[in-house]
Amino acid sequence: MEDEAKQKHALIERLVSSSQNGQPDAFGKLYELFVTPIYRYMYYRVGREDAEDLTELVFLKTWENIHQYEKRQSSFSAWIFRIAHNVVVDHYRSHQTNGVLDENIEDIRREASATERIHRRLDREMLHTAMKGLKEHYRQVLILKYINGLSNEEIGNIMGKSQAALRILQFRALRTLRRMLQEQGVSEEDL
Amino acid sequence: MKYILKRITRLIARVFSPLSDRVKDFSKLEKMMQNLPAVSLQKEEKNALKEKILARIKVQAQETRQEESSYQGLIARIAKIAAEIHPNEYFRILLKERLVVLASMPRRFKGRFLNNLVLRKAAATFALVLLFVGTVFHFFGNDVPRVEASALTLLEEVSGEVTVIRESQEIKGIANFTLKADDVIRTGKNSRASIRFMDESVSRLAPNTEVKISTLFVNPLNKSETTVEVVLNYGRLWSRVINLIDGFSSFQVKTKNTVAVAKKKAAFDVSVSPKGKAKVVAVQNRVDLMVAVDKKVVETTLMKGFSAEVKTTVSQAPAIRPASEDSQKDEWVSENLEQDKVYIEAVKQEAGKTLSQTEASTPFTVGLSLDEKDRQMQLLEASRAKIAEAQKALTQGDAVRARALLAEFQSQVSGVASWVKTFAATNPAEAAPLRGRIDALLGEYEKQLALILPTDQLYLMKDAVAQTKVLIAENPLEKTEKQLSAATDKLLEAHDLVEQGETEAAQQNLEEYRKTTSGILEDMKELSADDKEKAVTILLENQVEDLKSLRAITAPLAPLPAESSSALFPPPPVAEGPQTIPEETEKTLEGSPPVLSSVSSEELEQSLEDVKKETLQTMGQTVLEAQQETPSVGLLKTLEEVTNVDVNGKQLINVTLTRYQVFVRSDGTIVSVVPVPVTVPTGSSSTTLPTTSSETREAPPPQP
Repeated sequence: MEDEAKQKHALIERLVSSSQNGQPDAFGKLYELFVTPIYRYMYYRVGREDAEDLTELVFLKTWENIHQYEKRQSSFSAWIFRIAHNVVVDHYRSHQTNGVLDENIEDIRREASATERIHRRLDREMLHTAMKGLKEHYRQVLILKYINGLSNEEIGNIMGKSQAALRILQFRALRTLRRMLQEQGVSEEDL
Repeated sequence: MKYILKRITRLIARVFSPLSDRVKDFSKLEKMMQNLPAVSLQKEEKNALKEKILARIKVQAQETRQEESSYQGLIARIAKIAAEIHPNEYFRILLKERLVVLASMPRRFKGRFLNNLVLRKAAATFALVLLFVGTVFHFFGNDVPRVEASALTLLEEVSGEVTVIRESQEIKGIANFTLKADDVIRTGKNSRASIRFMDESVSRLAPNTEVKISTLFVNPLNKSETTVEVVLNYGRLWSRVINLIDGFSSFQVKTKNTVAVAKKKAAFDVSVSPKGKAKVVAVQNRVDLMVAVDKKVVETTLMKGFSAEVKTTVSQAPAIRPASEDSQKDEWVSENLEQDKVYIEAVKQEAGKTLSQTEASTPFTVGLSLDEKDRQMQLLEASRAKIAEAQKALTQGDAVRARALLAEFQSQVSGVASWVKTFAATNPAEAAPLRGRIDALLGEYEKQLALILPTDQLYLMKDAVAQTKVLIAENPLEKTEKQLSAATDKLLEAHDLVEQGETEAAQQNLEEYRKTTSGILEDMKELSADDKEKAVTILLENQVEDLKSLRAITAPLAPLPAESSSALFPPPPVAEGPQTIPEETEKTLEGSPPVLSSVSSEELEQSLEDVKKETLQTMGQTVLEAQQETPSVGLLKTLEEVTNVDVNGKQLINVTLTRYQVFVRSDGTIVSVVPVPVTVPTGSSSTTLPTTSSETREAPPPQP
């Protein structure tokens, strides 16, 4: 597993180097490696409607700035997700949302706290709704860690936090998410 | 005022008073604090507190770990759900293409362009202006009148009392009345009508006839794929099919228990007597016949000069016999043959006008394409201009320029086809309709040029379109299919050439057919095992049809007199219109007896016989090779179907298989194919490899 991760890391660095030398095919391969994780990141951060547009923007900016990437500063994964994070921030600014809690979203916690609780299986929509209800930095750490599978070091680079702080953040984010899902009536086995 | 001054004085005094004076204020307090008794934990208390705190931390850590581990299920569930999220495939591929194109552009320009908002806005404005100007020129600048082939089915000619019944309403039939599916057309006594169908076939109703148009189908994605079905309720119906192109296209005339199906080209007559007896006469080329007999369907092919009579009772097979002399002198037949000549010429002229006035994309519109897909389709449309220019060049007698233009057409279309093939590798769903457009364009030209023969000036164009179809084949199997189709077309042309007395040109066509077929066999050797089997199936099916076509080609036994009343061998048509007619044909057009070319009828018959033998040999070789490699169930089924093919009520081909030999019999000719060992030297010893050879024998004359 570790070997595989190392090999993948080495491959990515080679592709980045080739892309920096102006090889479009190498960038195409990088795109193939990252398009799904970036899309998933966007899907859970801004929603399905804008995910494609922002994914596109991430890759355009990545290409624009790829010559600025330096291996010693951070891994390429961390770098591209940093770009993705900035794109999301710009998106929120331009759409005047703070990304914390959309007041227009129906508060299903009130609904789920009715006398009748249905133990439902966690599905995509429920997860998405619960994630929307989290604070921004909770949401981001959960997405990067458990949806995109990045390492704590990479997440630390992206979010500008120490690893110790990150651990606590992850824990609190999970706890909050679980509580929100319980209020939605998600079954125990899924939690 | 005094009070304020006092306060200020005190403040100043305080500020500038020595530090020691101020410190003195806190010294008492300090002393008090220093004298307080020292409070501290005892050692035991310290340890106890330490243990308590450590225990507390330990418990908390344990609880945290337990809590963390309890999230594993949730984490796993999140990961599983997230793994289901994928970007839309189309979006993914489209974005990749854009990025690769972007990455290929010079960086400096890109960077400046992407970063400079003003520049981007200016470019967008410029593009909009260009689009507006282009649209204006496109709609208002082009005043060339367009000639479009009618996509409608029309009641073209009307004589006497003709009624159209539509949704139970009777409408008086008039010329150029548009007909629809489910319309019933009825002619009264001494009345006639002709229907021109959207596939350019024509049917003519004799007096006291009623037909119903049951199907009029045009594939919207490929307009050369058509199906027409007409039901003859009673009376008599002449039908002339002139240029059905696609393998799926057909023209059918149905009676109560009979279906006559024409593909590609044919002329046939169907009649239903007051007692319900149906009769089908194949006048030119051939017609496939299906008759319901005792809950099964009897299928046969009716060749030119043969008739089939079907009684109303369903227990009797059709009676097939050569068309009698009476039918040859039948006025109805001869009149229709004459009218067909006129009709065919008119269709040829219409096709010529359509070819010369085709609208094509301009470089301007190509340049305004939104994406690569759109650009490729614009390029495809732009290739139409090459065809139009080639046609003009040919009518002006400039064959050299025409060849160059046709080569450009081929290059352009095959370039687009090549791009679509690459695009299909990553996006097959998107690529399929694009490929359909290429096929539709070529199908359109093939249909317009279907009536052109090797003796016509525009034949170069027809040949170029046929070659392009082969060139853009997506795989070796498709290439084989297209080549076989092109070879079959050579035989159909040979049929028409013989009809016109052009025996030398007909023989040349037979030669080209032989060359194409032997080339296909060589190519088939390079196919993979799976493809080879499919190719064998296609080859066998084609060869059966080709044998039928060879039968339909009848060399005139003697020069035709000008006043010949034989309806089966009409004199060559009189051509009218802008096309330049070759000199040799001009001589025959002035009403003098047609002069046979240097190839005699005996020579032509010998050529036909040779081609037939080679076709049978090819079939035999194909069957033998397939047998040696353990043929699949599908191939065996094809072999069975091939041997069950019926022409004029008799078996067309008989195939006898042994382990290493196959006999193929057809129409009095027997061909045997055996493997012949070939010695190949390999170093010091030799290796014997099996190949095939064939031997042809004439069957003994049938015993009386």
